[in-house]
Amino acid sequence: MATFGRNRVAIAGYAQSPIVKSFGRPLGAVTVDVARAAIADAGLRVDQVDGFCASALLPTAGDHSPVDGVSVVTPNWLAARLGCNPRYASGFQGYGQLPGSIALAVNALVTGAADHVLVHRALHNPPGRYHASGRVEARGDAQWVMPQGFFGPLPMIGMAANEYLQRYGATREDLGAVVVEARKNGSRIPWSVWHDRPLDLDEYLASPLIADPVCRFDCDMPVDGVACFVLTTGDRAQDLPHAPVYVAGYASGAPTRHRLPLHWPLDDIYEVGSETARRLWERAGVGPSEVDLPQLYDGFSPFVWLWLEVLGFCPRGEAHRFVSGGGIDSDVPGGLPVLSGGGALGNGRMHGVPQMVECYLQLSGRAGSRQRDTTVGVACHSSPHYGGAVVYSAERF
Amino acid sequence: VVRQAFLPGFADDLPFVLVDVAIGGHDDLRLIGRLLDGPDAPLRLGAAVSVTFEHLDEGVAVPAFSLEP
Repeated sequence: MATFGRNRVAIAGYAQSPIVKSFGRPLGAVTVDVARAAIADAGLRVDQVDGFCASALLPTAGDHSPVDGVSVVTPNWLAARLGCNPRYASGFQGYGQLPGSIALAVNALVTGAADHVLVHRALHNPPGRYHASGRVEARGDAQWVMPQGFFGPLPMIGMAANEYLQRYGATREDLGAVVVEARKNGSRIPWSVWHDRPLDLDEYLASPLIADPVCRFDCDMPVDGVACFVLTTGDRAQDLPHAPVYVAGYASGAPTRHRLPLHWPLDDIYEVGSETARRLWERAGVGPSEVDLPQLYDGFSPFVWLWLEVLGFCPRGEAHRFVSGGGIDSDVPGGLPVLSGGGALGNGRMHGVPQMVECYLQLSGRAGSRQRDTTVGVACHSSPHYGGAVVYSAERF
Repeated sequence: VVRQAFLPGFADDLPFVLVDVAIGGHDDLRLIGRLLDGPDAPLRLGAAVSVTFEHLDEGVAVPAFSLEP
């Protein structure tokens, strides 16, 4: 049923840690603090939270061994440390971890499996090089790419971005326009790792390439950071202190074609990403023309173009011109505020959190000096073909 | 063009070029390999390549590509 859950679940409160290079404390300890703060923000007691949904992925290709409570935090770990006895705890395994976790929470609340669900995302920046590996043997699918030196997400996105640039005549300056917008907005956000540190196009262009056409600034900075959101049914949310923000609909991508590991041809992204978008609009009951706060994912800068196009904000192949022409300048009237929350490039590698935080703060009227007049938002995460997105609304419709 | 290595053994090869090749023009039959023409090769989408092999060690050969003239 396409309308399942539409506007029946709302975000009732949230909390977020500062986003920093390193907490100097175990990730779990910070997550417990942030979870308690989020529950209090929602006007609830810890013992009222009976559902926990999250993804605990440590998103690196490097040789880091995740330890629950130290470098990752699973829903069960958090529930136990908060002293809760959850009726429902579930982990999301796919890409687009935050939209996937929201989907689990919505389903649990609509079916009555839980009454108040805590969704968290806890990210850790491990010591050493983030994506570097000492592996000297390749097994399984990796044997077809590692001996060639195709390893990790940098060549992955470099190849897709290069395909876009060549096919549509885009340039490094066009990519830089995405990054400059993200950093401009991120520099105004007090909790961001890039607070007070905007980037101009000359600095961007002076940065050495890593995997052409991608440079360091096209990649979000690995960080330590935690965000927690409390979700409940729309009806219960009426009695809580903050204005509810409703989940109008959600969608995830996939299945994609079977490819070599991290081989993301542009046409796969478009083809499956368009299906992600179709599912999203069908589920939410709105389309791009009704969305005034599209928070697009930018863990790598080219994703912003791809989301603009698959979601229908731009014709295919046009997003680079749209962005470079000021189309996503969130400071001008008529600009589409795609990165008004700073995104990942302007906050740090928070894996969909900045997009969701911005939707929540703006639509609940809690954005303070950054408050905009908006009604319907979209929070995207990951690539359009593997990831997901959630439509949020200030009103039930 | 890969300019930073994330695996051991590649540092001396930097920068190197990776290509996404549709074998025999079949879009679903794709292989990623190194292009041996160097980082400044005039590489464009749709360029024709031929297959070759890099002999890395005794009994170890990895498929690679070079631009068709």
